[in-house]
Amino acid sequence: MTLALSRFEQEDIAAGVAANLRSDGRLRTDYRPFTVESGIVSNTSGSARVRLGLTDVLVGVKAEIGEPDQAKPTQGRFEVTVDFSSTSASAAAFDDDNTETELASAIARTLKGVDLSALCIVPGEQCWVIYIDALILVAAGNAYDVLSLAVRAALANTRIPKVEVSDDGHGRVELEVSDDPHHVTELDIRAVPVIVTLSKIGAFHIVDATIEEESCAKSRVHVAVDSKGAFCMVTKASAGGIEPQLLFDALESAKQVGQHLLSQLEATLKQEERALAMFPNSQRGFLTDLQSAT
Amino acid sequence: MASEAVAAADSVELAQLQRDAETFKRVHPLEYYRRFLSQQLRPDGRGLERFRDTSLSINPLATAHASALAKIGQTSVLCGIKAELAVPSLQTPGWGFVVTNVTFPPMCSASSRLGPPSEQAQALSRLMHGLVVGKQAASSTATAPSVPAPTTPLKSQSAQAGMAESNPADAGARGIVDLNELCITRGELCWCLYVDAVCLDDAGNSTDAALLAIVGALHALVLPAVTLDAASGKPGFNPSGNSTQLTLPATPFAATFSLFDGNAFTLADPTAEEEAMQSGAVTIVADVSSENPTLWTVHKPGGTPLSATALRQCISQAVERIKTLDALLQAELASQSTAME
Amino acid sequence: MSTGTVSHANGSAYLELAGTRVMAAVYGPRENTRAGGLQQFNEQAVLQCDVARAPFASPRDDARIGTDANTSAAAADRQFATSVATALQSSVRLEKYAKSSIDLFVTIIGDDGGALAASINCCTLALADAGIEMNDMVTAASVALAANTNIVLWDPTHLEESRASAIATQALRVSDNLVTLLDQSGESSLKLSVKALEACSSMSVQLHGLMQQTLVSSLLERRKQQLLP
Repeated sequence: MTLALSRFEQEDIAAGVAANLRSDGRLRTDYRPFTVESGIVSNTSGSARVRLGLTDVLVGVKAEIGEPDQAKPTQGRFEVTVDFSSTSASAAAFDDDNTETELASAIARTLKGVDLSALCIVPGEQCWVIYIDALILVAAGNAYDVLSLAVRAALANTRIPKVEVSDDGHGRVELEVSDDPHHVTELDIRAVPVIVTLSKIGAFHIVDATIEEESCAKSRVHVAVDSKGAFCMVTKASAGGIEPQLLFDALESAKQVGQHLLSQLEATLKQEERALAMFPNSQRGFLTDLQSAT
Repeated sequence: MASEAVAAADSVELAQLQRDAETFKRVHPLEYYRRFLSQQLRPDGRGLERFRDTSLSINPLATAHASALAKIGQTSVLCGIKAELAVPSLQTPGWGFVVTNVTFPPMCSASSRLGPPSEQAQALSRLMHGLVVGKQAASSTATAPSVPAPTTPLKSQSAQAGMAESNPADAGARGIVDLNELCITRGELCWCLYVDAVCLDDAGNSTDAALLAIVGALHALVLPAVTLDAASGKPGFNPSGNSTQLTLPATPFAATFSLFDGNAFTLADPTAEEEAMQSGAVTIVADVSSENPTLWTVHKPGGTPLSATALRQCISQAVERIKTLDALLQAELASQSTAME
Repeated sequence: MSTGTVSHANGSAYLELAGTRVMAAVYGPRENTRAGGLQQFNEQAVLQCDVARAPFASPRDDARIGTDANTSAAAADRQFATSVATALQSSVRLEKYAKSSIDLFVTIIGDDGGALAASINCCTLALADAGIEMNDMVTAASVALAANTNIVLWDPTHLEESRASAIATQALRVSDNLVTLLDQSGESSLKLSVKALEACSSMSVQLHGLMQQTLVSSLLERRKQQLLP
């Protein structure tokens, strides 16, 4: 996900970062505003689309009954897949297929700490499997962060039908899945973190890098922060090195930015819910811009 | 002074010669070998019938139930055994399972690359599996799980099913392991042994090393005592109970010979270099542990034909070699048990 | 620790830390034969890493991986391999070896915790043994973190790893003090993470010295063998 930048462009960006005034006027730790639309894909259990700058990610969540992980028989489980839309790389060519698996495994790792005992149906035999399918519509920088925001928003939006377990008298269990749209459970997403990616440019680190900034970053660190400010995952995926002291500073700012992002996401979702309650028929989804234009 | 000058001149000449030999070897590898072999010598200094130094160490690993590392010269094969509980298949309620596999990770030689197992690895896996379970699973060897994908006990049932339970008293039907011994409760519970041999360094003759490692690990295997919980019927391990060691009705070893330059020369224990140039090979597996030595397998996968006299000669050499391997195993096991005490 | 363990490889090394045993071999620089490798021209060498786990590598109480978990195990191995490659990438002077690939093959023989760190260290030794130019040796170390007691356990075993609230692995280029890989999974606070990384760094420095000694002694050994006919 890199652009080929000239040396002058790179120097310009680096100078901006050093002066704590980036090319779009932000400070090093400023995040761009993002938009969230949830519940926009009707045949899923939950969905959300998050846009940040030009980057655009759609996440669909589907709950299905399946077998639990043998190591955790009393919990449900997550399955994460990430796909790049074939048009997503409008501005840049992708390195390799590894990016998709890397993104998916990063998301799966951030979800490891989430307690899924509510999703257990019959211990050791049946549970809800939450399939999280993410589609990156436009990748224009900071894909990890946007993806994690979209996953959290989609999980907040997820409704799982209640299941009744009955014994048929022969020792076999029968499951009855409720088809009442109001007879549902919500997921407890308090432990779902967001990823904050920090890019090292020159001797400083910045949050929410644009694709140009990413292209001249020497190394990147992805930090997953939950609402308590604890780290759920720290990984440095790119090749370059980073000084330990800078790393500690980066972790510090990741904590602040992450908590801020989470509260912002919460507020946005609440606002959306309120708006929806007031204007239930308002136009949403992919054709909104088009419809308002005509 | 003069003698020093002569010595210096000698060393220069020696270096020159060495360089020439190196070039000659690269350009005419076969001719290079022929010149050596015609003097009844090999480039690594061995005679034609000599095997390389062989060593065996028992239980070098803590993570497996049993393990053994066999080294023949530089070639090293590590075998690890994991034992799991499984349900016997319907056709053979009195038997356990053994799944044998030999893998050559891409690390072990420059020629093996990523991807599915090579034909060499598959063929060797099948040969080893046949030796470990013998005719007990004769009809199953065709479907023996030679694919290194980890098979679940359920899967391996299907791999070994489809044969009638033969008479276990028939000595000829036996392999190294008596499958009857792996049964805990007839029709209900048995052991499934995963015997995995990993070639760490392939410097030629991995067959002999693999069988040595497998036999060594099987001898070191101690199965924990299993008790059935009366209430739930679920099996559990009983640490205080008597753990069992397999009796192992046989301990065969292998000796491989390489046919070189048509069948002009027969080289014992070929190196990787020799294997690359050989025109054929023959592996002889025999068991000399009992009073009557038995010949198990003569494995000759294609290549130039071998005369009956030459084969007989190979076999007698192999028996000598296998006697030393048997002694090596016994010595290693003895030192192991004294170390335990 | 020892080097030169695989006879045909350009460089190889074996590392043993109690139950954790790792073997690495370097093939290359050689022609890039992987898919697509020949078509494109590379000014730099490509560093490729592949990890194989012996079936008996994990501790004995672990159930054998079923076919279900098989795909996720393969994905985990790929992730593992990428991590090893990223840790080493910045330190190998790839620009010296244009148009070629350097292939690292790691075999995990036994895993009793800290397999990632051990693999990175083993690969560094193997690269050095192969005579491939590097800026410095990368050394890695791992710690287990216990969130409730604020304890950082150095070089944890498998049992300690499974009970810890988080595990962190860090690879450090000691001479210029640059972190080349960082990987923490599980929950921890900022303070604890910093403490963990500091612990990793000091372990790395110790390891760096040890590995240098190993290389020097293996070199001396080899020279001795060459001098003797």
